[in-house]
Amino acid sequence: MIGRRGRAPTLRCILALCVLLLSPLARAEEEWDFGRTAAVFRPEEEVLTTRIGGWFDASYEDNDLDGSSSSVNLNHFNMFLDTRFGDAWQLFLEGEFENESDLTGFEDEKEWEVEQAYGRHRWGDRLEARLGKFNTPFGFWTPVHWSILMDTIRPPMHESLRITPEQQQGFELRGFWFPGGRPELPGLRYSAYTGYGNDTELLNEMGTDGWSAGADLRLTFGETAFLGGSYYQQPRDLDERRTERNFDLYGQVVLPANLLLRGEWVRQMRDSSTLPGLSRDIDISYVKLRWRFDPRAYVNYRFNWGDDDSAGTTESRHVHTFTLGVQPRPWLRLKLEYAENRFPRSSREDFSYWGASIGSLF
Amino acid sequence: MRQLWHGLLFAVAVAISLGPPGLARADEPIVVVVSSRWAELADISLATLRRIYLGRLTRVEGARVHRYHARAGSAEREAFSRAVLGRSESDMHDYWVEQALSGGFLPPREFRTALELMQLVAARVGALAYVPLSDLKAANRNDLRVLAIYDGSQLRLPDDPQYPIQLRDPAAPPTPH
Repeated sequence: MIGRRGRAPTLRCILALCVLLLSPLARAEEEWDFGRTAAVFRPEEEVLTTRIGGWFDASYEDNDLDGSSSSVNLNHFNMFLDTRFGDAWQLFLEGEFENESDLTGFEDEKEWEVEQAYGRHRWGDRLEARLGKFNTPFGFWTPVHWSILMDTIRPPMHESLRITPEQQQGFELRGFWFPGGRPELPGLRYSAYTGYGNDTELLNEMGTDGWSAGADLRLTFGETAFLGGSYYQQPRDLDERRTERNFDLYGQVVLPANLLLRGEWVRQMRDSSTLPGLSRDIDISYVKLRWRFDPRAYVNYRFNWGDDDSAGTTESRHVHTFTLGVQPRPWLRLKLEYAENRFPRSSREDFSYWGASIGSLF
Repeated sequence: MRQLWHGLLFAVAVAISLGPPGLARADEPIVVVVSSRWAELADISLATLRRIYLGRLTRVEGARVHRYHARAGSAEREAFSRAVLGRSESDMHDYWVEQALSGGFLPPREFRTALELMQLVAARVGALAYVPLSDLKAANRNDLRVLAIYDGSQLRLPDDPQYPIQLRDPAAPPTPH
């Protein structure tokens, strides 16, 4: 009697234990756990996310000028930190080490600096604001001047000559507008900003001395063609005190056979208040053609021409740049480049430049 | 024994007719799906779809849009990139790198299977994704709506031979628009 009564409670206990053990599996199915946590189903507007990443590139460079020697450098090491709370709020920080040689015939640059540090608030697709330090929205190249993403090793002349500052310290309003009822019509991207710089270490920005302001308008046709215009004005205090007004007209179009054509024309009007004889206009332009003959490789030709005053006097300079780029992995970029620098109508010596670059994203 | 063979033959026949899950055939429509509870949206243009997936448009018909990608490297992902975004998936990588370095738009989240995408979209008004039509039919769901696509001024449904989002030879050039 005792034995039979003992077996029944044991069976019930075993069954109850099985139910308890198996029930979490049933609950997991109801939670739709497809290998990700429930957080993936939370609306983005409630999520705090932080991303960290960066890139670096190194190069071998040389030219045929008398007295120069080749260099092998870590050219850039760049890191960013991007924190967002939902759609509306963002903090962005970018720091960079730059170690660019003067073998291209332009001034070298060796420094650590905070490239960008800003807060952003987004009201919607049509309007957002940034406050802090951000890339100057001037033309095509300046706002996106990371060499890891460029088709060439060296930037175009107006960047190498630092016609305009790469960054602004100030406030920007910008946004996109698309015609709602006619989506096939071009979209409009717009930006207006103001900044401030002086010769203190904290606010120093390429000789800017005082308040600056600018605007950019870009018509986008699909995703591969655009036409834009920028204006930027700043006071600059170098050997002379002057007001610089800059205009940039730029555009891009994708042609058949995987060809991409892009160009920029930059004019800087310099009004010197201390040395009026130095008031003048500077014109610099480039046109480039890239042929992507393979999904992971391209050849690029850029013709750059304009006024170069880096040697103290204003001279006409022509640069023909040929680049072969290979991307064996999405995170790895290799480039080979050759450039002919010509100074017509000048006593400055023509020279050739060549280089090889490797860059990686992480 | 005979019954066993009949059973095995039947099982093989069923397996062949169902086919491997998640594999789409060439020239098969890739449809854009939203929750059936999203009453305002019945169709969408390629241009609007492109802007949504590039992050430049976050609201449609006044509603917040949450867009999702198929798994990277999948046939439907490559087909969608070429047909809608006008670029290959590898070109899109450059675009998202530029966005990351400039603090710009965030890329869409991606999910491993069409089943996950469909269940997410069904559960959330404002969610938008794309799946092979064959996967949608196999799932036999009535909580999803397939959007008609405006290709220029022409409204295309999945049974239209000119329907713009199709699986095709990956070596074909992107659709220019």
